[in-house]
Amino acid sequence: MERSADRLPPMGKQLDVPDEPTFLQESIHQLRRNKAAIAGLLVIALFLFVGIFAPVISPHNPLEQTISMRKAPPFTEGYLLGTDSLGRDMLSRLIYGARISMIIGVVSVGIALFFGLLIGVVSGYYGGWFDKLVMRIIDIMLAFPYVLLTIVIVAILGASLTNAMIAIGISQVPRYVRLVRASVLAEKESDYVTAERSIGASNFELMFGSILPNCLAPISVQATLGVGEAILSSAALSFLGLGAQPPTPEWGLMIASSREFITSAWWIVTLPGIATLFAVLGFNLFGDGLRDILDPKLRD
Amino acid sequence: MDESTLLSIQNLEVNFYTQRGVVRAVRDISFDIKKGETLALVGESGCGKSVTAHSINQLIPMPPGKIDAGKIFFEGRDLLTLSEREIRKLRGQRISMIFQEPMTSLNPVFKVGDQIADVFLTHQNITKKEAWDRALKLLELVKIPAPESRIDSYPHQLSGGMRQRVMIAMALASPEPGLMIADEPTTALDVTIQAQILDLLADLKQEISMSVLLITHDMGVVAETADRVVVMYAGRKVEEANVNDIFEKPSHPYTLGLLNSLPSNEKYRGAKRLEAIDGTVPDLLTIGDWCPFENRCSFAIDECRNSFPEGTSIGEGHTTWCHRVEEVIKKRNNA
Repeated sequence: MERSADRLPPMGKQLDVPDEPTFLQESIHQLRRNKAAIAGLLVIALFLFVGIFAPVISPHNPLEQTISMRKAPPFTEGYLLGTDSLGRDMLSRLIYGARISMIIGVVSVGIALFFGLLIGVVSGYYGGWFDKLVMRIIDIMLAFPYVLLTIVIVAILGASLTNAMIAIGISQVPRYVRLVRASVLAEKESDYVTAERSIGASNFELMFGSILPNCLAPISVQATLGVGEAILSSAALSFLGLGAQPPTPEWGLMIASSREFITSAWWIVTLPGIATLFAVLGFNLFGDGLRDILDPKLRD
Repeated sequence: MDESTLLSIQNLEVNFYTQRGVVRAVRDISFDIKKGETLALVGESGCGKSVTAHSINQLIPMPPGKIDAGKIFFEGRDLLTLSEREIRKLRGQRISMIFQEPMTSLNPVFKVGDQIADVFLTHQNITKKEAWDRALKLLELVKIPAPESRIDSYPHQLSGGMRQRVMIAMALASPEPGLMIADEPTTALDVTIQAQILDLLADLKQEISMSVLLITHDMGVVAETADRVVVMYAGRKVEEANVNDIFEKPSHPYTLGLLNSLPSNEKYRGAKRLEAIDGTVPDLLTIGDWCPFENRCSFAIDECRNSFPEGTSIGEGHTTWCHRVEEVIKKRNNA
């Protein structure tokens, strides 16, 4: 068997193999080519920054009423975006609203992801009666219109911002379960799963260690889009009086409490709407771009 | 069973209970693998060779598959009586596997270094750093060029031959490799890479003294690597012999047919047409208890349609299962 060593290509040194880019470098490279995703990311970054540093950058206390300055139009001195019907600074309220919306988006999607991934992976991997049971429950949940389902859950839990987040999270669970289950069904028959089983991987390791990472591309896209939708839903719930309660500077609530001024003081109604629009748009744009970035199979 | 036997399969029966009926994939298969030996399981697609091999570490999908009878002794323990937990400990630790499709057998989202290191981490109590170092050593062992940078590669950045080397490295990632099951390790590779991989396997076998169960339909691969050969047809074992005897004294009509259809066979030196075995493999759903090769065999007589023959010993470690063994040997010697 001495001939074998000669037949192989020479080792290492002569071959000039360039260093592989790291995952992060590669991702940034991919991101740069996607203008829409960058725009989305910038918007998200702006809202996150504003939300985190709200107490530092807001010019006024969002709850402080200045009765003499009621319904001041934008660009009034000291009030860049004007004031609302009770004389509160619109800019400060929008800034604090960003903080609330970001928290709602992340927490609701976090709740939905946690349960969605757990149920979806187990259901898809094991199949059988558990899978059938889960799928029927999901079918029932999907039979309700999304908003109606959320309202029902809030109605049961009681109207508050925390309960709105829980309700939105639960309403979003079915889509993750379906998505994850479908991906797991496709992946679990792959050769690499058998190969990893053959080196002694347990069911738990196979489910969450090797199959789930291969399903993350569609999930991350869905999750990013989900944040946008959660922000929108919470605005809707607050608008209906089922989410944040006055005087919380929540965007949906701000629209609801000022809708009678739409003809006389348009900025009070319109600005929170525009803020919501941009936040949701940012997440949607970034979500789409993420699809191309996170999937190593689409690279090179 | 004596000391030198590593694996002993005895009267294994595997059936698949499908909606169309019972597929009798493996019927009454027995063979031993000695320590340090390479045994080739030969036969065409669907003859049950993969199912036999996958039964050893119980990777066949159950259901619909079911091991209905038989014993599989590995180092004296019957694997079929072990719990899933104990089987899992053996997988990757004492019994490892390499697969036919190197392109899809690695997890696409992890670096190859992580995947090899993972095998160490699953079975041994060592740090990540140590596992990574050992993974690097293995990549050197399987002769991957520039292993320091390849260890950071994702599978899609490697060629098929490289990936198969990584798979082999994963199969070796244990402190005491005992049996390596190589399920058509070279089928998906081109011929030059095939030769490199086979040489590598042969080298490694010498270096770490493990046994290899080689599954293949390629008689060329058999000739190059195997010590002993078991020929399977439609779920049955039809001939077993040392590798030289299989090529020099084939004594079953099917083995003869397999060898006659090799392009490298000496009688094709002239411009003769390749011989093929007439007919097709019987449907395993409706197969009877008689000799499964009967419908394609030029030696077949009525007896062949009534019963599956007893084994006939025709030399040291050479057994064939054919009613017409004498006529087959006579014809072979005259040819």
